[in-house]
Amino acid sequence: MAERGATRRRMILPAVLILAGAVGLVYGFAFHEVAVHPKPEPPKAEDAAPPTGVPPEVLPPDEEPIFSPDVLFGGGSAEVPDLTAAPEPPAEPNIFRESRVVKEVTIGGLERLPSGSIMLTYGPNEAPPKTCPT
Amino acid sequence: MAKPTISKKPPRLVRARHVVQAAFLAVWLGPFGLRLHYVCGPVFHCYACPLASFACPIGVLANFCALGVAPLIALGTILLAGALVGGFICGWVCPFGLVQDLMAKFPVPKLRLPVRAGYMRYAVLVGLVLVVPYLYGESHPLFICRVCPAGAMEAGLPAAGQALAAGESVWSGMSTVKWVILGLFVVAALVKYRPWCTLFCPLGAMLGLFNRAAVLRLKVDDRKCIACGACRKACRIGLEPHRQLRDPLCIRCMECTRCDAVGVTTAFSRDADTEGEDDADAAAS
Repeated sequence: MAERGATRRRMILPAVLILAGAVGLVYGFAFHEVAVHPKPEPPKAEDAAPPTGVPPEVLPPDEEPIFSPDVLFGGGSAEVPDLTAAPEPPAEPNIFRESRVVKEVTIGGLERLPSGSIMLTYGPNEAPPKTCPT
Repeated sequence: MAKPTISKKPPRLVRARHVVQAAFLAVWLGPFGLRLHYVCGPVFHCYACPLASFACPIGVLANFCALGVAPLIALGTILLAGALVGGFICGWVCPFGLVQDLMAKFPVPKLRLPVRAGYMRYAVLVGLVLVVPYLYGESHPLFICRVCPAGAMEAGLPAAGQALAAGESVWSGMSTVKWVILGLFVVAALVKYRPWCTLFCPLGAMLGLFNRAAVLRLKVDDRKCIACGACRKACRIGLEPHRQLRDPLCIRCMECTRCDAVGVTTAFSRDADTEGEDDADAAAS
């Protein structure tokens, strides 16, 4: 009797861990979903806002040019469009199952934006990365 | 009390281990084009390897930390595998462990480091797999995949080979850092038994914790054990198996079964209680 009780106690922890692992796997495959934004199309050059302000002054030859936004684009109210900034993801993300997210990370297909959103690193018309970039 | 028998030749379980390791290569290397990269395998095998069947759970864990997503599939895989067999994954199934076992066969004197150096594995797990990815993302130089020797060997070498075949430089297939890491790993594997497993492996760090609770476990027959130290001499990790069978550093290489007082049992068996508990633990209980 005492041996049976000891055997039962010995089996409790492995059973709990096996159950926890199985539940994690089933939930991860079947229910866990992640919102992933598609990679937005980059803005075309002709769509970029043109610089405003007066044309730059013509400096005397003996003065060094100062390539400041104020010189290039005129008065202080002019804003320089930052074409190198990553475009914000569109409003509607796609819903990926966790298994799809696992597959995408193995090829470096996802990245986290500063806003916390997750975005695909390749567009719908682009070939996915072949291997993890690391 | 009957005296234990100490075997000079590799015991049956050690010979079986090598066969099982080789057989599992057919699973991890997907010779028939099996590519299930949406599933994690419970072993340390880079998913960028051209033949990899499954995703590496450590890479997935780290990438999910970088994305800020709960890695339920990776954790569930590790929990399930660990709860069933614990450290047997390291000694019997892991392909990167097999590579190190083969390299250890070179007749070069082996270094023995303090056993507790193995706790560096937890620093690697917490630092390079969890904290650095979560705080700095996948592009940080200390992201685990960027310094992983398994990736250097299993993915970097094929990539360098492909680059060479395409007429490019081998350096374009793998970064300089990875080449250095690969070189250091090769040297280390020649002069120390399983250096990655015993010192740095974050997956082994997690699976080793299950040595205390796995269904499949080791046992010591107290009727035969005379604490002669033969198992300690046989242990390639530097443990004292007759007292430390449940130590997280044990990779279940079965060298200690040269003494027939040490054997394999399950949690269901009546003799599973004779597990060589530390004398201090026994006194406390």
